Amino acid sequence: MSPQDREAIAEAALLFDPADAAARAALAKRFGDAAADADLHDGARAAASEGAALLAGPAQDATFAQRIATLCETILAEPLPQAQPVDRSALEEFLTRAAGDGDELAGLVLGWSHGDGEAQADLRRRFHTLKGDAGMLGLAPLQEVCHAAEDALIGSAPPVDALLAACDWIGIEVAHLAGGPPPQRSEEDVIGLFAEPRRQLGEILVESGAAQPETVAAALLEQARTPGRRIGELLVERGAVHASDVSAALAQQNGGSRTHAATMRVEVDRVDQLSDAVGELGIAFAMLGGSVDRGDRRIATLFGRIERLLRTAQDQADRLRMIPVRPAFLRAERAAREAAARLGRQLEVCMSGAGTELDKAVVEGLADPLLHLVRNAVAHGIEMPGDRGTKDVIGRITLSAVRREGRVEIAVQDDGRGLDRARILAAAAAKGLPQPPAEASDREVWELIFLPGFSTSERVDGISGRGVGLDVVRNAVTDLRGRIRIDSSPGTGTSFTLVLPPTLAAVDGLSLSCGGHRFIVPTSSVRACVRPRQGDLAPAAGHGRLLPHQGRLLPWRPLPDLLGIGAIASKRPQAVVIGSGNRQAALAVDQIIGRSQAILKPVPGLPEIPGIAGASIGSDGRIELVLDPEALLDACDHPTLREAS
Amino acid sequence: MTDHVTAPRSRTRRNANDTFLTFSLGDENFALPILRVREIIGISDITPVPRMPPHVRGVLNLRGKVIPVIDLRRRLGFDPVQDHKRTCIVIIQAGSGADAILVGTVVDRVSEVRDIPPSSVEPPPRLGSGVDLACITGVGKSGKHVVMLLDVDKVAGRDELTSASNKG
Repeated sequence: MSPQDREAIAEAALLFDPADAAARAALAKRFGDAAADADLHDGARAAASEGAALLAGPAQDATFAQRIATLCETILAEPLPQAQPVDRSALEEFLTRAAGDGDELAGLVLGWSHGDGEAQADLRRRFHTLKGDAGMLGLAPLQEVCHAAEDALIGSAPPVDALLAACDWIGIEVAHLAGGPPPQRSEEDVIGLFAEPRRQLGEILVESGAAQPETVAAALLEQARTPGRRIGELLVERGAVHASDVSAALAQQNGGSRTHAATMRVEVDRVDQLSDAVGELGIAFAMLGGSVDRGDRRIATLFGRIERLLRTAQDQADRLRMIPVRPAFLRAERAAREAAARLGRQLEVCMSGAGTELDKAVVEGLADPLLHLVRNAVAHGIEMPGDRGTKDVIGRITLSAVRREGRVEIAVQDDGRGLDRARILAAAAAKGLPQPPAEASDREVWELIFLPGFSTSERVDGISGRGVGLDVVRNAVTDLRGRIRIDSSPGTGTSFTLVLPPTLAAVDGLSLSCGGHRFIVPTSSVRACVRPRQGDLAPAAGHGRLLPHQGRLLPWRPLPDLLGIGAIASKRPQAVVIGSGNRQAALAVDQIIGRSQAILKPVPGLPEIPGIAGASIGSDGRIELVLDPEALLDACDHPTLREAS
Repeated sequence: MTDHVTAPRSRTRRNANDTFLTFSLGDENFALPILRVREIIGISDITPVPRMPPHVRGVLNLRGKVIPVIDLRRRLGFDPVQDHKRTCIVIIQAGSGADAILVGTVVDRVSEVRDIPPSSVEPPPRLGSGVDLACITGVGKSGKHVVMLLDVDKVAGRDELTSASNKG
């Protein structure tokens, strides 16, 4: 029976007028159709044919209309049409696909409860897909349970028990659809587990201090005498609480009862735009501050207030982009376990500070270097269980994150055999890499392992030592404007510490002036600031000069020379010693102005400029160019490069 | 049916496509399509950038965005002059879609916004002007003045900024 037929019959049940010949004819037609409809049950068909017969006869007394109405209702008692019969092959395909879903989902729920942020996203996607599939196939109970579970995935505190029960139920239900026994719990039961207990309005009002417990008790007594009245109404009537308190409490009762933080997804672009606007607001405000007389107390007070609000807004805008480093740690942990299993190591992975927050881009950029470092630690650090001497046979890798002096230090520490100085020197020599002097410190020797082409691994084992060396790790970390430090001692282990800025946008820098320009050099690459006397510089072969510095001779290059912008004006220039890894150079400038923070901005439209990483807007609104130390070091190594650029 | 006839278009009503911002470099008048003009600001702090072609003056801070600034005199082959009171920067949008960029162009003085309908535009002259003709889409008459219509993407497009060539 078509929905139109049902509607017409339902209307007739209420409004049929036996005197209206057209209506009689129309209804007779509907009855005829219904009587012939094989999908209707027998009772409905019988009623339909009886109605059709009645209508075909002459109009009768008042009971006639009554009788027709009754017949209509009999027909309508037919349950609503079921969903289209399920396509068996699609169902079978779905059941095969979903067979392991219950267990896998439960695994993800557990992962999430242990803090795996990716598992949450995974779960949401999986439940969503499953819900969609179930909906397509008309498997309403499955669809509803998935829906409830998906809804429960918002926020940071998972209702683990309810989710696990739902996963169990899904597993059994899928098996049941494939011919197994039905789940013991009904879907309503399972869905009910997600519902948070509805709190009593009076309780909420008392808790929020809007009402006294005895007032509520009195109102409850009155409610018992006058059923149908609402407790909120009674309280307001008695003047015991304000109507606004009641509506607030109702809102809390109905939706706002979740105590965990709700989350929402926002495009990164929008966050960036907000940060830009807030940053710019700060600059505009600073400029205004310079031109307003704060002698007036009212103005001074307002200024103070705006300043505080602005600082809050800036902090909050910065924090919007920050996420915990945890997902990168969890990936590294998995990689470490896999590597250990393949290489026959026994391993325990510990984490600390996984909640430390970094810019989203930094956390994402960190994931690969961390994978590489833990695999490296398993393959080269942790010994085989039999070779660990007096140490615990189970090797240990610790991933830690800690905030220190405005930067975040992320360490991958193993308790393995430690780096082998002699072996590293031999390997470097065999590869034809530059040799450090014999008296070089351990740190300088460790630097060798970051050189491209260095690898002490004799085997290609698919875990580490695939020819992709630690140079890749260092490049990735440099891209995040961080640096790596190695500490190692033979027999007790090695730790790689990545020192990173918490955000990509802000760079700690040193402000320099030369040739009338101002530049910022990231402090992460500054090794020292010097002001040598005339006689200190040594002539170098070819052109240029050398600066003796801490036992080494560094190339001395005026910054304006490197950038092709005029010359140094100062008679006795200062210099910043910049370094990356083993390379160092002294850049001569007119003056080192001081520390500053740079917010790197892209400059769309301009080509890449060798030696310049980007532009930054200073606190006075002026643009300063941020130097790219790596490129400058390259230019120092190869004086011809700058001509080519 | 309606027998109501639409009134003839008001003569002052502008078709944005035919509307231009006119400005001058020395004695010559130029025009930029108004649809590409974002705003006009006074000459402000421009930070020079190393290794740029001479017609790129540097970058400036436009409300938190860093945008390149070109000197239109040098770009079109005029001799540079000192900035003065009337010197200003016209912010234009070069390129379109994902390639669109904002570029500041330094001009001697901004004149007015004018309609220059296609009927009064002639193709650029072949010879006889010191101006880089590749940047001119046509020569229009505006009142008793002759103005050269500029091709925004040629003057300030990405390719133009990144090429080291210059007409200065």
